[in-house]
Amino acid sequence: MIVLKTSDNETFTVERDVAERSVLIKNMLDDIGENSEQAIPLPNVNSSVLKKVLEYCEHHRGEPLPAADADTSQDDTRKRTTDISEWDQKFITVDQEMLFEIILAANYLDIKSLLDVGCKTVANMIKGKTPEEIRKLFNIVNDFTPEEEAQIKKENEWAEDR
Amino acid sequence: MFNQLPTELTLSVLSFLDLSCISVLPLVCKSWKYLIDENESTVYHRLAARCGYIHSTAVVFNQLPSLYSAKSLASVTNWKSFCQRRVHISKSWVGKASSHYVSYPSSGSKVHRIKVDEKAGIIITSFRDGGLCVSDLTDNQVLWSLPKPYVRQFAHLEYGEGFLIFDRPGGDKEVWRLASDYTSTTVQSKIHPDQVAASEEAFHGHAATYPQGHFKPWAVLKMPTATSAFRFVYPTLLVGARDHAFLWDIPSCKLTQTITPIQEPEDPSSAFAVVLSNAPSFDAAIPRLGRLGNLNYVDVDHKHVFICGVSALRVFSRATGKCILDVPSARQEFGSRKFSVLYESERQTKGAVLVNHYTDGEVLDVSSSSRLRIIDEFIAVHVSSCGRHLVAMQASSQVVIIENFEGGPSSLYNRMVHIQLGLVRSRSKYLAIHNDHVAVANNNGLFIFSLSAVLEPRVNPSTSLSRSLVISRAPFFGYHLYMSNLTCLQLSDTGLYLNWDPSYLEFCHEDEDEQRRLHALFQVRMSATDRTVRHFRTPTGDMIIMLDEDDFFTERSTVCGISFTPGL
Repeated sequence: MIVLKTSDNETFTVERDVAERSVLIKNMLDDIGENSEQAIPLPNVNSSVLKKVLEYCEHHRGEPLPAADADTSQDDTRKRTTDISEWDQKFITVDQEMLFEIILAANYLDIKSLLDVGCKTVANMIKGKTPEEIRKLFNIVNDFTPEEEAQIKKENEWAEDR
Repeated sequence: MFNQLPTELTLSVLSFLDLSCISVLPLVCKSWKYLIDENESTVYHRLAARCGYIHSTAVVFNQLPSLYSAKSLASVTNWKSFCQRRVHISKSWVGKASSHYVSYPSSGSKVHRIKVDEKAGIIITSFRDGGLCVSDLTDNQVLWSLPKPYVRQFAHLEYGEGFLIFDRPGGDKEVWRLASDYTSTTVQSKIHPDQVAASEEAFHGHAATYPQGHFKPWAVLKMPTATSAFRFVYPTLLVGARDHAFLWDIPSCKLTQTITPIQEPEDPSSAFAVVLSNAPSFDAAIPRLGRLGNLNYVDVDHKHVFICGVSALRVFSRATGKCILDVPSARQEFGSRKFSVLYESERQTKGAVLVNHYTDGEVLDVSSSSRLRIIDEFIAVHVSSCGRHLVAMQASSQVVIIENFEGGPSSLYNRMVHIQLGLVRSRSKYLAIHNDHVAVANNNGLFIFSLSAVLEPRVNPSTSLSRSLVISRAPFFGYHLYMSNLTCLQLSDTGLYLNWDPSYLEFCHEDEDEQRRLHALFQVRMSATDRTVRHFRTPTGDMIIMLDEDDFFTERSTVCGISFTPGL
């Protein structure tokens, strides 16, 4: 069993193969050796986020990890699709603040598949929306003048669907 | 952009978005626009990979010239303008962005066959009265040529990866290779003395342009028997003979495989029946297919050989040499879905030379159709670039698409789509396919459609069938009298090439009255209903298609076409 310590000083005791979904933790464990009973400090993750992240790791334990030197072509094939599996979809249905926290934690802990799920979810939120809908979604104020807006629209006309 | 995320992670989010979504983002607010402008190269590089314009982000910008021709990359200066160019080209192909007519006078007159290599920047032509010419794609000059007596009249051309193949008077095949690709380590034993002499003469006649567009002798391949249609898809040359399909490996000049019989092979649909029956296999007669007849056309890829004969379209496996699919030319219906071009639905985007037509779609129920058979012929077939689907053209203005042709005979009917391009009984001229684009020339006009669009409705049954397929047409290449002279049609990434009378092209290009007349002519021709007399009923009630005669002949016929790149 491995002990993890969050930024708000909570400790989590988890099985090694669950914790090792995180490449960061895996590398740390490799460095400090098998027998250390020391808690691993995770100063960038708070307890509510880590709880969520561990739920993900628990569900996906035993699945093959992407190779450390996964070549970019594989990376691109993976990026072609924005599909998210049913369990992941349910897991990631959280408020915006938590979603971004999970992305940050997945990035820090180096859990590639979770990072993808997070990024895909944000991408899917934006997909097919108008600028106004996006502003509403992320609470953004339109700071363009109508002239500026028209100009940018013109510049990007080529990329429109038809 | 997202206040919570560092730039690197924001870019990760964007890499899951398509172009149309990305283009909306700068409109959200100044900070979003700033972020995208600042990271433009990363954003569009990833987008290029996502759209499949490059196979992965491992491809760097400087590698683009090895993947795309100079024509495709004209005015491309960064990843954004590259994406912009790709989008324009693909929209232009479907009539939704500007395109223009072009002619290539230096390709010669009385053109018979055309091959285009945009990356090498050359057009190769053979002629009705003999000879062969290589001209520059961009600056209208002849680069290299072989004379009339040396290259036969109506020589057929095949070309790929720098190898040029044409037929000699006796049927043997000449192989030449681009001088710029030539290395001294090549197999020289099959070079014919005639080739050496012709090569020297050709070099001296065009020394100033060397090595651009120059070819050097590679081999003369002796055919084992009298042969007809041939097709080269690098590295394989497929030559069809009466009852054989010969496959040559061109780099090594070796005959690597012979498939026979093709006239009466084992019936692929009976293969299972023979195995299942309890009869001892050694005395059970193996059911065989009927005669194929003369060969009209052949195609090849690394797994299959495709043959259009008078009585059927057949596919042979290269692994086993066995026939795996037989589609007889005489059928009641060619597939469960049928599209036909609706003439009155014509729409045109500003600046585009293509007009778009909606199609009338119907789902056919084979059991309810009449027992009448229509007897036609497949005169051309091509396999899709993915190797899974077939596009076949019949003699009478109809195209048949076979989805997943390896999928067995049982549901074949449901995987076939036929498309009627104009009048029912007009002569088909040429079929060409390049990636997703299919172009068909027949006496009704020149039509272009997307293969994926034809196959799509199966994926999404909610799409209304009649509105789901848009077929583009090039009106200037619609004059049926000139169309009857068309003998070749080629597609490339940025263009379409065919043989045409250039004076007629210039004429209708400038003259609005002529354009209107042409339009009216098409409408009248298409609404003609009294042409159904051009068929023949057999005593059994079957109908044999009778085709329009080619009734006009123009002396001038050079390479013309459509360019799908912006500007002139």
